[in-house]
Formats: sequence, C-alpha cells, structure tokens
Amino acid sequence: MKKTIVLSSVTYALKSQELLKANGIYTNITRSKAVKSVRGCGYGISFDATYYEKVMQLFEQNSIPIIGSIDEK
Amino acid sequence: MIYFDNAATSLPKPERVARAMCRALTDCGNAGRSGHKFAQKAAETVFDCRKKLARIFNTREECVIFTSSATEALNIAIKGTNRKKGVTVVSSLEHNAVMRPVNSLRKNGETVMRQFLVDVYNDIVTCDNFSTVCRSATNIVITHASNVCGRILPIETLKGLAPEDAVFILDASQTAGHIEIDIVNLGVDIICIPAHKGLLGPMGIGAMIINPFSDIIVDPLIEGGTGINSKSLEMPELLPERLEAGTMNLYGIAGWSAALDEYSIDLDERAVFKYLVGKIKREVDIITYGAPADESVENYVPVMLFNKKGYDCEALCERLSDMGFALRGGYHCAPSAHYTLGSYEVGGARISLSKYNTVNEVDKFLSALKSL
Repeated sequence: MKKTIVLSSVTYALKSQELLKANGIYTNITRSKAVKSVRGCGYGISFDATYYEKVMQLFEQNSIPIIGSIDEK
Repeated sequence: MIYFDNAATSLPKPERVARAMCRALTDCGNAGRSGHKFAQKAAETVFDCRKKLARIFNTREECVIFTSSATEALNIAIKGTNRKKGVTVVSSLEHNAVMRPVNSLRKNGETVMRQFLVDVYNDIVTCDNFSTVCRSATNIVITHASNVCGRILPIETLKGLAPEDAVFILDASQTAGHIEIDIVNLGVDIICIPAHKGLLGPMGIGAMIINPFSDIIVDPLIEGGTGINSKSLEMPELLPERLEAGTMNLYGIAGWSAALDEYSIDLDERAVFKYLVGKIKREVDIITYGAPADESVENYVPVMLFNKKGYDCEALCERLSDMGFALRGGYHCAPSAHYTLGSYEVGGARISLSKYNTVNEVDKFLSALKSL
C-alpha cells in the first residue's frame, strides 16, 4: 500500500523528498490523478504507507504545509 | 582589455556558468509544470539554486523568490508590501531601481517619500539623520552599499533604530558576493539581489530573499500560471510560487546555480582595492568622491568614483577604453547619490573590481591614467 501526500508546490515536494531521504525514507514525486483530484494541478510525494506517521511527524517538525493525503494501491 | 566595470556586471564569469546554461537548454523542460523527466530535471535545477541561495543568505528554500533582476525584485518588494500606504523612507544614495518605484507610489498618492542624508564619513551622523525621518515609517528601502562610491551603510544599526513594524527592504545589488550577508542577523525583511554582479551569474535573473522569521505578506505584481492549484483564479498563498507567475528563466537559474558553486568572499579583492585607493589618492589631478578617507576599506565594496582634472568623465572613460580599460562614466542611474557626493554637476568615472582583478592590472590602469 502506498500513501501520497499532496503538497502546495514542486518546491515543497523537492524539499520534502530531501528531508525524507535524509531520514531513510525513499519517495517518488508524482502528479497523479489522485493529486489532481485534490486541487487541480499539483505535486505529491508517494511512499510506503508504513512510514506515514513518521513522515507526518517530520513534516510538522519542519513546517512543511500539507494539502491532503491519499491512499493508493 | 582590462575589465573594471564589475558594478555594472561582473566579467569574466566562471566557465562552468556557460556550460550549465548550455546543458539546461538541452536537458530541461519547464520547471513545475509536468512530471516527466525533463520537467523534473528543470525543477531540480531550480530547487538546487534555491538551496544554495538559502544557505548563503541564511533563509529557507521557499523564501527565495526568483525574479528577472534585482530591479524587478525591488519593484515587487516595494509595491507588494505597501499595504499601509504610509511613509516610505529611502537613503540619499539610492539607485533609480529604488527611487523610481517609490516615486511612482508617491505620485499616485500611495505613499509619502522621505529621504535621509548619508554621511559617508560618519555613521553616527547617518544614523541621526535616519532617526529624524524614520519614526512614522511604514516602509524602509535602503541600499546596502552605494553603486556609485561603494560605501557600505550601517544596516544593523539602522534596523535597530527603525520602527519595529516597518517593512525593511535591503537593496544588496552591490554587496551580494562581496561581503557576507545573513538576513537573520541583519534583521531586515527582504533582500533584493542580482545574479550577474558579485555572485558571478548570468544577466536576466535575480532574487528576492525573505527573512524566514518575518511575518510580512508580499502581494504579487504579476499574476498567472504557477503549475499548481490551476482551478483557482487566485494566486497561491504560499511562497515561492505566489510571487513566481509564468515560466521561469531556467537557463539563467542553471547558470547562477553553477556560479554559486564557486561562491566565496574573496579577501584578495579587498587587498587589491586597498592598493588602488592608496595609489589613486596620491595623484594630484584626480578627484575622488566618497572614497575611503585612508586605506582602511572595511566599510566599502570595491567601487570608486573619480574624475581627472580637465576631463569630462565620459570622455575620460572613452580614452581609457581606447587604451584597453573598461570603466563606466556618467551618473550610474543614481543621481541622488551623485548629489550627496558632490558630483551631481559633472558625474564621474567609476572603477569597480571583482575577485579576478589584480594589483598588476591596477598598476597598468594607474600609469595609463597618469599618461593622459
């Protein structure tokens, strides 16, 4: 199971990707249909859903604003 | 030709700048517009440059806003923060990139402009003059160093004297790349910079750096596509995309990013300037304006204004150009600074160094000047 977090921009997507990589979590940047459904065009990062809580914690600690999150198969 | 016009634009650029720009032309799509590998490469190129600038100026990546120039950054900063429509304070050394947008607001009844006199030889007098005009200021726009005489202003002290809620904008066009600039330590809200001067990047790209602890809101001057939130008729609220409508100058950003890989504050540049100051001030037929009083150059970036007795400044620069030296004559888009320095009637010749200039080049220039 994958989780996709929708972010406000490609800047935050790349910043998040670096942050998570530094914490051992590997992600993909995506503009999937699911991301589009949240807010028109946008960027999200998808990762193994088991890291979800850790990811949310890191985002909060680093003031990364989140638009939404989606479960993807 | 020996190049001494680095305050206009630095030359040469590091070789890697052109290489990075050429690579971007073939490898990159449109940043932030798609998810394919070309767009991704472009987005990474932009983000890399943001990261480098954020590190140099001590801010966060999203607080680095790309513009086409320092002038555009200043226009966005000045006009986009003028919500209170109150009093804008500027110094007497400002470039037209500050004076014209502030004057435009003044003409439209959107601000009252107040100017304070800079005493280039006495910071206490400068600060006193600032204190008398800044009490009711809502916006303050000040150059970090004069593009005419190179004098660095005491920004930390001025910031300390300013009303706490006034927006403080710094024009760092002449200091970026020449001295360390930490936006948090300086305490200013916004710093505007060009890529192509002391930071050795290409023309056509600049940035607005926002203090990560500042709570100012900057309204966009230009609205349009950002690649995100497309269904909304409003610009995004979050930085940097809020202020970056339209396709970015990716090739400029790629070149700038490459230039920043060579970023360092060069102490030799200061030593060469000190040498120049010491020598030129001994020439009896040379008049300097606002130049260091002695050979202590710590309050200066390597820029000096002078005239040679019996020569019009433009004619002098033409002669020097014929002899193989590139300098700029005239008013340098800063008439107020010339008024302050006593060169308003005649203008002046400006010599400005970069880290690539040498003592040997300065010696050649001085003997050419002497031979005229």
